[in-house]
Amino acid sequence: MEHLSLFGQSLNSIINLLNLKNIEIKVGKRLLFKSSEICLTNGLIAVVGRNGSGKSTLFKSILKSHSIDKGQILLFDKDIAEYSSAEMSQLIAVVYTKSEVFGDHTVKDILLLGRIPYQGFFGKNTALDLKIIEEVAKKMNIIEFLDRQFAYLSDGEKQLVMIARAFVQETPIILLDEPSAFLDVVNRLQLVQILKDLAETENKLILYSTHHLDQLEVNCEGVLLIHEEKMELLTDKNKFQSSIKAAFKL
Amino acid sequence: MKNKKDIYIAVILLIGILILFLVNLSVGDGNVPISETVNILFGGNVKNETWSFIVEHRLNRSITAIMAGGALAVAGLILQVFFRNPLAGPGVLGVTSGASLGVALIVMGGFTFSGLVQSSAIIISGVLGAFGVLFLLLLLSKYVKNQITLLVVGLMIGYFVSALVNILFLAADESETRAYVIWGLGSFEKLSTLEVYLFTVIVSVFSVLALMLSKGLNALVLGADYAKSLGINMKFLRLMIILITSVLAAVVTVYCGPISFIGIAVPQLVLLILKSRNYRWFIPVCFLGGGFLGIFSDLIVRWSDNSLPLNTVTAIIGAPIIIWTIVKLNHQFAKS
Repeated sequence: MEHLSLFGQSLNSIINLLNLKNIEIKVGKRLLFKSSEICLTNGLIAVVGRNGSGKSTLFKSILKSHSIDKGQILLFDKDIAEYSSAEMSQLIAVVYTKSEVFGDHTVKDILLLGRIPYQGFFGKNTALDLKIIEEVAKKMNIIEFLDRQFAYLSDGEKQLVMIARAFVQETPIILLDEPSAFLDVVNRLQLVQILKDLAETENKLILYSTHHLDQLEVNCEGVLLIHEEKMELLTDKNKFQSSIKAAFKL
Repeated sequence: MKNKKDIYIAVILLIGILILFLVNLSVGDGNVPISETVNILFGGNVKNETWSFIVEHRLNRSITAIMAGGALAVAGLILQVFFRNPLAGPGVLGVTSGASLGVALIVMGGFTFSGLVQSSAIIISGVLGAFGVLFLLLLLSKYVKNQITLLVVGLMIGYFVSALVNILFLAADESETRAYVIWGLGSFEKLSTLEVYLFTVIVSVFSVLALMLSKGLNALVLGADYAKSLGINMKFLRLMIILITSVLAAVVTVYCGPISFIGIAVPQLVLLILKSRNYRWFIPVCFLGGGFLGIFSDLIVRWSDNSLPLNTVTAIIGAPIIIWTIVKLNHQFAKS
């Protein structure tokens, strides 16, 4: 069993946030990948694999949008099937590659949407919601564009806002599906840096899929490598690059 | 998050509706003094029996105008976020045509029941027609990903269904056809007191149900995938959206005819003046805005001695707003 402990034996890291137990994921009849047991606590984890290897499908499976063929996915040692969608929304937040908003919402409006899992029937925003979004905005240095219109932001700024929105959701786990695909080099490096800092300071498990292999060993605590229908967790930072290159025959 | 300016907007709209409401009750042939109108409304002693009769007639059409305008605006608002298109609305998507077909089937099919049963049969048939069109559109939306194209598909469904209605009319006699053509021009008139009650109850209930979708509609702004990750049950939300918008659009169509433009124009206008982007504010303010536009249009119709058809009035007000929306939309696309 591969086990990843990042912050010593603090109470937080004893619990497995996410446990992928001998899963097998297929699309239709085609096998994408199998894995042995993988336990994840907190930290930033990169998901690496070629196009079509199953990175997005892995995320979909964790989110219960795609059912796995074999094995089990455990959240806090409980099968995801046992969680309602409302409960799931308080445990996992998501950021997709490209985010489109319908309407002329401001950044503030978008961040408020992250509080939906905690709202009642009518979607009332409380004073606490406003306090939380302000704190997150401060932390992520986006306070100056809270009142700007989301649609008019650059792709880099949009992604920052969507990550902030995920943080506003206050979940222990965040999944990001190729968050930097449309970003330039500078924005991409900044984004990964922010994810790294947030994973450390906020004690979260952050998984992001990526095709950019540079500096993985500096930023990430682990790499989930999907290749040849297998998924494995790399934990030895010194071997990230060599293992990936060997797998991709580079 | 409460926004003082938004509360003022709601209050101003409400007062505006009340003023137009009283004006609509008082003006016209046989001017009834406003003081008498209020007196009659509150069941006081009436000086003139004909006044009482006139006020009841005007009361019915005024309530109908407010409720119909509100219902169409709410249905339009929800359809716009659902299809992610600011040009969507019950008319454009063919929902109104679907309702028309339902009505025509009952009327032409020679099913005549009495009173409430007839009313209910027509309503149910209209709702089924509207629901059918929306359901078909939802199925097609899986294959037609482009939202503008989907709108064109909706238009085509609308034309197709209207053609079916016209075919039904081959079997109709002259007076039935005449009645249908007049119905097609739209009007808030001619509802009996019983029908006004029924109409008001249905619109009120389904508008409140719409308000209960606020949280889901807020989430839907980010798209279905994000909404799901925010804990929204998308299957249930989809079903509720097409059910509520079908009923709201259909019941208006059944009683007032296929009224165009209010459903698209009002949400766009409300977007201009409202600061909050939370649907728990958006929906009620849209309802008020629709109600205001409804009774305002009816005043113009009455001012023209009922010679201007309702749909002409709504088109004159609504079409420029929609063109303006398209210009704004292109501007936004160019910028992003």
